[in-house]
Amino acid sequence: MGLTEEAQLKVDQACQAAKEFSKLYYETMDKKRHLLAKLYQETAEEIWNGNVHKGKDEILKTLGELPATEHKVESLDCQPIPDSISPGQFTVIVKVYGTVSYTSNNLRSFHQSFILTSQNNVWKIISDTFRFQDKY
Amino acid sequence: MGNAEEPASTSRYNPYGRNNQRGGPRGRRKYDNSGDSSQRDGGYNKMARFGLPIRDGDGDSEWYKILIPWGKKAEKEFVLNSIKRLIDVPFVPTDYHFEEHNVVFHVNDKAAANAIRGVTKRITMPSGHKMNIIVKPSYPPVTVLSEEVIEKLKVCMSNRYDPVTKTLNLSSLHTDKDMVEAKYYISLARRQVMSNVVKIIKENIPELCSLDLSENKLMNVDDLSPLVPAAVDMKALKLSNNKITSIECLKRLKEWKLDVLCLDNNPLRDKFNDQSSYISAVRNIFPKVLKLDNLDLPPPITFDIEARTDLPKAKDNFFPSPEVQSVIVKFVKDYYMVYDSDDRTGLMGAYHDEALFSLSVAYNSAVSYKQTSLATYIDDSRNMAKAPKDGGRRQKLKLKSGNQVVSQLCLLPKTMHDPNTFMLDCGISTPVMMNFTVQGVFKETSTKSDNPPIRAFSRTFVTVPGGSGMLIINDMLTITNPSQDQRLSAFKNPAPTPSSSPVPQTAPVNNPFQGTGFTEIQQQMITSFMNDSRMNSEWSIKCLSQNDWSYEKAGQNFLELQQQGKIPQEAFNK
Repeated sequence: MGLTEEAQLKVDQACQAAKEFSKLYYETMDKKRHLLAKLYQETAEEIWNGNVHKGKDEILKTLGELPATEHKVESLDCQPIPDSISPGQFTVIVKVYGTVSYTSNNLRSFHQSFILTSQNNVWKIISDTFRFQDKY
Repeated sequence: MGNAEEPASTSRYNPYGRNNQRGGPRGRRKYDNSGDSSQRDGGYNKMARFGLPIRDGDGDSEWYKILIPWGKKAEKEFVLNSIKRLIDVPFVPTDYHFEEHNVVFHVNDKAAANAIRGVTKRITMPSGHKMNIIVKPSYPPVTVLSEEVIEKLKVCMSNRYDPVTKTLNLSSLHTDKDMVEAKYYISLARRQVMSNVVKIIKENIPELCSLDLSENKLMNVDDLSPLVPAAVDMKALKLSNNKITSIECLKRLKEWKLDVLCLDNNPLRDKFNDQSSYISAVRNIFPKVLKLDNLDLPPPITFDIEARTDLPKAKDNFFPSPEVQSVIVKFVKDYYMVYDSDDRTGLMGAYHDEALFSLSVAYNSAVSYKQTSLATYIDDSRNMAKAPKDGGRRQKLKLKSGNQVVSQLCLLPKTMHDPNTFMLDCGISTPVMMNFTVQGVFKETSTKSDNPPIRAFSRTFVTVPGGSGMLIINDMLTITNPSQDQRLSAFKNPAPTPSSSPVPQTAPVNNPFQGTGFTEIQQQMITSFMNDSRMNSEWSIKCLSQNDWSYEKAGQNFLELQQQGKIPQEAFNK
């Protein structure tokens, strides 16, 4: 009762994308923050610990204002989102758990999920939800 | 050779036995209540400094403090064994630790203490020097603070807190009358004491603005740093008369935007040749300081563009609209009610035929306690961040689809989730799909242990309209271990009872996800608000949810808008 071959192919593609994306995202976030906007779609939405930011420009601005980061990914998982929801555009959801340290702040655990969609064979983030695991 | 046997009823043993025998101005003194007879600093002052009241020893539970100057240089085994070899009396060293370069430990036995004292200068340290051993009577050492002591400490702190100025005065805490009377020697220089004090502040007075830690023999501020992200309003810090050797250690506190700082009488000052380099160094860490060591400094000239080092404040649950909020809240409540029950097959109705589920598990690398094993989950865990052990062959099996999903869920350990810890974020909400994440903690209830493992989780759902509301099409669950704080505060309050009587909605709902189901408290608020404001339920709900369900805020918001004439007549139509 598993997946059809077609479905399995999609899963594999999604996993491949997720691995590459995750590596790229956190490297960019940690070392080339100014390039981060390229990964987001124009109308993307980003929620950072409950603070919502809409649109590439606002996202770049607020993420840019965060102190320098160093992320370590502890777990990575992903699933494809069915065609029926976003016909013609392969969409995947990527889920990350890890730890991050900001300059002069304690190490924090975080959970982040991304919804990526492919446009012209390029993956773009349309939704990004980030939250620390705990309050302090 | 030392005053081995003194009369049982006598008071404080004279720790400077030998010297005393040579005689000071008063010659050989009788043992008396005023503590040691060393004339150098006056017995009374010395006892007062240790926070020990000046009175007769009472013979119950006699503790002695053993101090070996420069003992840190030798190995603990060497020190203890060499002493043990020379004496007949067995002893148990309690809380062997270092204070600067000295070794300190306690023993609970008079005979042992005397015997240990007797071997002073009879052992040669690896450095070639003779081991000097100083033995003094003392109160029981405070190692791990018991509940009792912590409670007493809380009371003591609350007496020292002024809520008007938000100032907490912990100066010379070890001489605090109440603590001393209760026979607790509480020194902020001890790590456990400082950490508990920080915890108490975090939990009770995070609005603290001014903290006085002078005269506490502090050598550093390491254990104070966890307070920094919690007490965001801190403006004044007094560390005068301590033993801080380097200004560098204050860098851990730089997130505090201090106006006032006192560092006088600390060894760190000696590292600066002049006042201006000292002020520079301070300003390097705390650029906004206006008063240093009680001297006014000229206001600093800074650039307007400073790299931000603080983080934006976190907000609670995010929903794009109140309707979506109520849909998701109800869904999550219902879902976990079944998930936490004995039979998860009830969840079948919540999943789409083509749903996908996967589980990902990892240890928490941000915690320092020994974590409970996640072995029960590892076999089913799909974690692409770690190289698979079997070359990825089993990866395919770990993604469950269709009716495998609920079967898999039934195989996972039984759980009880704590809704008080839940945090919800809704990423996407359109007529064709909804995406949201739930974060929180749960405990595993399958093991019959007193201390069931508590886990932290994050679960992301993608849902589509269908069934009796919506169906899950993607379900991704991440499990890890909670932070120490999360562990301690989970399951403390009784879980709110899920209520589900719907509030009649007067407005037509455009999107297919019909909103129903407010909590009991929310319903009460709505009714009161309708009464107070005279608005109908739809508008009352709107106002309340736009103000994060804070009744006060909503009330103020309503009054403001009303005064400005911005509320349309229809809001009052029943």
